[in-house]
Formats: sequence, C-alpha cells, structure tokens
Amino acid sequence: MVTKTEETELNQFEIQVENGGGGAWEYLCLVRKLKLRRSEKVLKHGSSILNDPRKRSALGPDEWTLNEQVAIAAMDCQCLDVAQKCIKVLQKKFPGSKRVGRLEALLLEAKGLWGEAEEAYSSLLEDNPLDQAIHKRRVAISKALGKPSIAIELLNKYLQLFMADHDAWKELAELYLSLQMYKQAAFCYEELILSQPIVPLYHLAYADVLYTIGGIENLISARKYYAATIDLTGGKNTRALLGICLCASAIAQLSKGRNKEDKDATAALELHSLAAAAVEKEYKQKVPAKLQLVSSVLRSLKI
Amino acid sequence: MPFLLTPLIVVFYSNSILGGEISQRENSDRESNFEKKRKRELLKMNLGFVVGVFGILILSHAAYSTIQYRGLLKIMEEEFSRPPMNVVLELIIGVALCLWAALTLPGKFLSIHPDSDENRAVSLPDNSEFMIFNHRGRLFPPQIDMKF
Repeated sequence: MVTKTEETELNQFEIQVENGGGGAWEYLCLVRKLKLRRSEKVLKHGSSILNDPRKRSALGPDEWTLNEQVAIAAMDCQCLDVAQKCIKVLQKKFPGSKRVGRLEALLLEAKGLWGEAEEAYSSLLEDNPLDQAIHKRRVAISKALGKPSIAIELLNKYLQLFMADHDAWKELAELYLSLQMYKQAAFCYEELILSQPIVPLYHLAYADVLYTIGGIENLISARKYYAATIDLTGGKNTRALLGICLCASAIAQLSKGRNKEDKDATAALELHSLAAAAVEKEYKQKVPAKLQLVSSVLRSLKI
Repeated sequence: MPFLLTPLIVVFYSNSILGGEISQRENSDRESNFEKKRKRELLKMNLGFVVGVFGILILSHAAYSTIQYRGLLKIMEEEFSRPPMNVVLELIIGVALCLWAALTLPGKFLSIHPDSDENRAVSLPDNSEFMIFNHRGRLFPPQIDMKF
C-alpha cells in the first residue's frame, strides 16, 4: 500500500523531475517499489537515462531492471519499437532467461496478437507450471478480450493454488463487480479483510458493496464497516464519513414501520450527527467554496 | 589511557570511509535532499556509536575503581556502604552517555499508530500484474526516440 508519507514524497519527486530538477532515478525506484502505473512519466525519464551513455554506465547492475521497467511502460504507452529495443538489449545480456521470455510474450500481447501470446505463455508454463506471473497474464488476456467469465474461471483456479495472493483476490472482486455479482465480490473482500485487517481500504470497499446490495441487515453491517474504516484512518477518510450519513438515512427510511426502541437507534443518531459535523469541518478546511452544497445535502439526509 | 585513543581512531577511520562514499556519487551534480538526509543519518549513527563505546569504557573504569576501593576497605577492615563520590559521578556520566547512544544508534524510530501519516494506507497498488494494454491511451503514443 501507498502510505501518506510515501504519497507526498512521490508527488514531490514528480514535480521536481517534471520541472527539470535531478532525481529521475530515485523517482523511478520509488515507482518500482510502490508498484504504481505511471507509464508516460516512467517512459520519458527512463528513456532519457538510457539514452545518455554516461548515466547508463553510472547505474551499474540496475541498468537491466531499468530496461525492464521502461519496456513495460513503453508497451503501456504503445511505443512498441522502444519496447522491442529494450527487450533486445535484455536478450543479448541474458539469453534464454524466463523473465525475458515473459517480456517477449507481454510484447505480443501489447501488439494485439492474442493467439501467439497465449501459445507463448503455455510453452513457458510447460517448463515451470507453478509460475504465478504467467497464470495472471493468462487471466489478463481473457480480460482484454472482453470475456470476464473466462477470466473469472481462470482466476478461481489460480486462487485454489495460491490462496494468499492479495492482488488476485482484489482483481477477482473487481471482475465480479464489473459483472454486478455483488455477493461474490463481498466474499472476495471478506477474504482480503481476513488476511489484512489493518488496511482500511478493504473495509471501505466491503462496506460499499454491502450498501449496494441493500437490505436492512446489510446496511447495519455496512455502517459497522464504515465505522471501522474511520477508526483505522483516524477520521481522515471523507468517504467513510459520508458513508455513515448515507447508511443512517437509508436505515431510518427502511425501518420507518418498525419500533424505534432499539438501543441501536440512539447510538445511530449520535454517530450520524458526529459524522456530518466531521464532514462539514473537513470541507470548511479544504474546499470552503463547496461547503454550502455539502451542508444542504447533509441536511436532506438528516433522520 | 591508551584505550581512550581507540574511539578517536574509530572516528577518523569511519570519517575517511564516509569521505570515500561521497566522492563516488557522480549520478547527479546537484545533491538531492534524499542523499543529504542519508549522510546526516550516517553521521549521527557514527557519533552514537563512538559515544556508546566511550560510555561503556567509562562504566568499566568505574567498576574497576569500585573493586579497587573494596579491596582497600578490606585491608583497612571497614564496611563497604557505597563507592566514593567521584566514582558515583563517573557512573552517572557513563549511564547518561550510554543512554544517549542507545537512543541514537538504531536510527529513526517507526510509528505504531495505524492512522499516523507513515502507516496510513492512502491507496492500494495498481495491480500491474493484471495490466491490460487494450485501453484508449493506445491511440496517443508519446514521441520518444531511442538512440541506443
């Protein structure tokens, strides 16, 4: 996960590098460490380092990792000749390497030759049938071809072997959400929360899915998970605060006919008003121009 | 007294190593904040190490003088209540130096609050292993020329 300090550091580096200051190599290392997808910037600054033979030799053995990073960024930006050159350099240095073989198959994918890419991956899988990255690329190919059901099937088979892979669970949840299979997506998020209970963003996503499914029990659970997110982030996540306000008003609408003597109801009222106050305070601090709009919306949500 | 020279030798040796590291940085002519912070951290750790060695030497010296004092008291057949004042002073100084070194040597302490800025997850990684190249950005490739 990207933490707040890392995010500010990344933004500082980005501004520094874009305005012509030094530090391109540190920026690239940070992007690689945080596994972000900043393909245009990586391509521009990475290729400027690789074009300069003095800077290239100053990198030492990190030159090859840079080549790999620039190749993948070039494929994402559809500069296929740049990617081809980087891969050729890597092939010369590491002949017969599996990692370079994966990059070549990735290039076939970027060119749009899905059949050949699939063949390349199957042949790579024959040599090492337990390579995680290749299984994931096969899922990505089905996703790119617009067949999410096949992608889901492959991903389910992959997760039976490698149950601890968080990225795969996240991807499966997103695939289910794109097909509007909310209950299955909720299951995936439950798995993620079980394995990493400290990350507040999984709680937030789970609460969103529960709110979308609807029904009074799901709304009560969603409110609990929004509250858990607020607890874990120290109240700095606006989306969770708004989620509590929405949940409270939805629960109040659904339970109009029932008795209001629940001990839950008083806690709910207090939570709702506290969350609304916190949202207004944050908007006053950061975007005072929109405070009127937010206050009127929150007033309409009041129970 | 010769054992007091060892920390000085350690300081000079490590400073020369640090000087060698600095001369090898030829990546960027302008030193970024990143490198300046690393050098400051290294210097502080160095100083902490030297002070720690010093503190341990002072404590062992105080222990040795206490043992000698006890031996002296045994000869004079008196009770041993507490070591003499200068040894107590030496003890306090030694403890203070060791304490400061123990807090400086490990470097920066990590935060344990889940909602502090260092620990708070702001966004999840972008799942680049499932990345597809089939997006609309395909139609706008940037102009990059490669000279190698």
